[in-house]
Amino acid sequence: MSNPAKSDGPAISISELSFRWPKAARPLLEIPRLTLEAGESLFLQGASGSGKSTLLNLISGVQSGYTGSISVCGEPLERLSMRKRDQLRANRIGLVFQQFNLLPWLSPLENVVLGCRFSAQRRKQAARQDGSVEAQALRLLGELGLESVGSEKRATSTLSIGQQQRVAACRALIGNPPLIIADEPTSSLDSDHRDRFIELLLTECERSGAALLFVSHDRGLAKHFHRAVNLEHLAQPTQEDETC
Amino acid sequence: MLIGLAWRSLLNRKSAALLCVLTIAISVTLLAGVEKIRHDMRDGFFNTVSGTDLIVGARSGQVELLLYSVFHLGSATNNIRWSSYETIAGDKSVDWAVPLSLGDSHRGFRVVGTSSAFFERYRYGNDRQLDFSAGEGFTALHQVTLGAEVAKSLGYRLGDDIVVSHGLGNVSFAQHKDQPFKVVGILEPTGTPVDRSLFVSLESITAIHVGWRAGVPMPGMKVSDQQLAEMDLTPKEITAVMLGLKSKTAVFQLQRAINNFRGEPLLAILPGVALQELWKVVGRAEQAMLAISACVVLAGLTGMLGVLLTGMEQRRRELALLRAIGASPHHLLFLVMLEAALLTLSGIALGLGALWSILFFGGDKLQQLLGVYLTLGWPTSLGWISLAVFVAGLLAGTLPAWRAWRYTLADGLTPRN
Repeated sequence: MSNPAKSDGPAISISELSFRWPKAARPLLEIPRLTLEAGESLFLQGASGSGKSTLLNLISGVQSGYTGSISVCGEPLERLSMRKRDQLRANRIGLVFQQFNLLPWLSPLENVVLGCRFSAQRRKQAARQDGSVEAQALRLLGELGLESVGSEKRATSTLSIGQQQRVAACRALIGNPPLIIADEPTSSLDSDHRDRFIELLLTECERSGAALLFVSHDRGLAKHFHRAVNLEHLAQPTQEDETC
Repeated sequence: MLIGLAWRSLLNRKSAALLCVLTIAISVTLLAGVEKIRHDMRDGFFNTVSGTDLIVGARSGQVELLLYSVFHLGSATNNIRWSSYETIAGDKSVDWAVPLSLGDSHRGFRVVGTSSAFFERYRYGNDRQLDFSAGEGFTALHQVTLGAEVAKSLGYRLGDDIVVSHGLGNVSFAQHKDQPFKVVGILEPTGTPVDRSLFVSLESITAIHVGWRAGVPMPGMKVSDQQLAEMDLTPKEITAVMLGLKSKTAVFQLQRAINNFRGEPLLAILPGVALQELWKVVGRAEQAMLAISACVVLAGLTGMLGVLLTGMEQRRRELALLRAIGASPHHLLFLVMLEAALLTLSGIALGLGALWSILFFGGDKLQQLLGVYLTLGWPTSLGWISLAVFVAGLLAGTLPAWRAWRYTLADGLTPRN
């Protein structure tokens, strides 16, 4: 399977990042160095209010106004226009959130296909791998144990939360983006489903060769990942690679 | 592409969207309907009389003469002597002359005394001749031919007897009871004052006034049919004359000649010129109507704006999600504009559909209600109306679109509430 991520260097590369809200006295985020290699899985722990969401907004290119450098798949975001950053996100990043991942007025299958809506590159990639975008969506749904959801015309709102999160994972994975960012994707799940979801997500990322940035406040999940980092400790360079 | 998303999103908000479409549809129906009525009214107005080169009456104003001779509104201040009529009709440039004698009525409708040439010479619309839906024109004394609306609203059929009232009131105390008329013909609808008139011969008009003095019957002066048959019933006076000329070039010459007529003060008018002058007065109202319906369209679009703006607040998550998938703020701006365009277009389509069905199924009712002869068809400025509403709809869409833009920039990937 082709893997576009490999050739572009690290999935995420941050150096000397500092971000502060316009009227704030102290910076919200200060990250001297953080790297996520292609194909690697990183657990980023952070309490609420630690700037997690802001960091994710910065990495996905919807927030600007920082100093330092953030590169996604070799592209330094600070040198890109807003439009280019949006295109980069569409092409290279799959996102999964804690909740409200799906458009309730689309079917689960349509929600998965939506992941390619703004990226011709991902549509081509999906078609190359499985023949068509729909075929890949169905394959992903099958691999995440949702065959019936894909084939039946079920309303998205009738899915359980666990099923919805898996559909969201399929949407993030479709078209094989080199970077998957998951923001507290398991916080609404019970512990059984939580572990199973993480395993499925890791398996799929491994299969497609995508790097995974998994963000959560729950330190207990760290064991699943190659590497774990605490956002609050990042500011001190010595503790960058500390395992939680 | 995006239009599919906009469509599905709207379907998800069916009731609000439907309400939106409905308000726009109603306003479009109204605007296009008013424009249609305006247009048909204008057409009907200018087509009331055609093919007549001059109308002659006692000297007064040209609008006044037009009003009482053609529209049967108001009454003549003076009459024309029969001898004057004969002189004018005998002029070498005159092709035909149709005398008109007004002054009697039947249950609120005017009774017109004329010659049977009226049915042949009267033209309306684009040189259209009068047709009979039943029977024929009067040929003898005490026969009457009815306009379409008279027959319809009073329920008269061929062979019915009717009594003519003296004067013009709806309820007249002086009735020509002794000489009832028999219905011998009913005209097809024309959309002109002809529909609201009853036609009898000039001799009939003279006959029913035999034995009358100063508007009341003289006691003991009843006449039998036999006596009438022996009398000379040529009228002494008539109200107006419609003239057709052999050559149009003679119109102004004859007009001048009639206006300088020695026998009595007369006035000859060109119907087209007089209609134009009258329209200047009547036409004001239609402008006002159009302005009001344009305001209704604005109200409809404001309604849409409200629905879209309140929807925006609830859709912040939706917008944030689309943004996460890679949509730029431009995409979302475009998406919301597209929604406004879809709503407006559906509203326009539904509104025009409604107008068409109203004209198709309710045209007759509307005609009776408004007194305007409506044709089945679109108003001539349909394209402009649709375009104007569509553009206004898009403009209304810019406000929620701008809000969507602001939300997406402020919210990033996760909406803050």
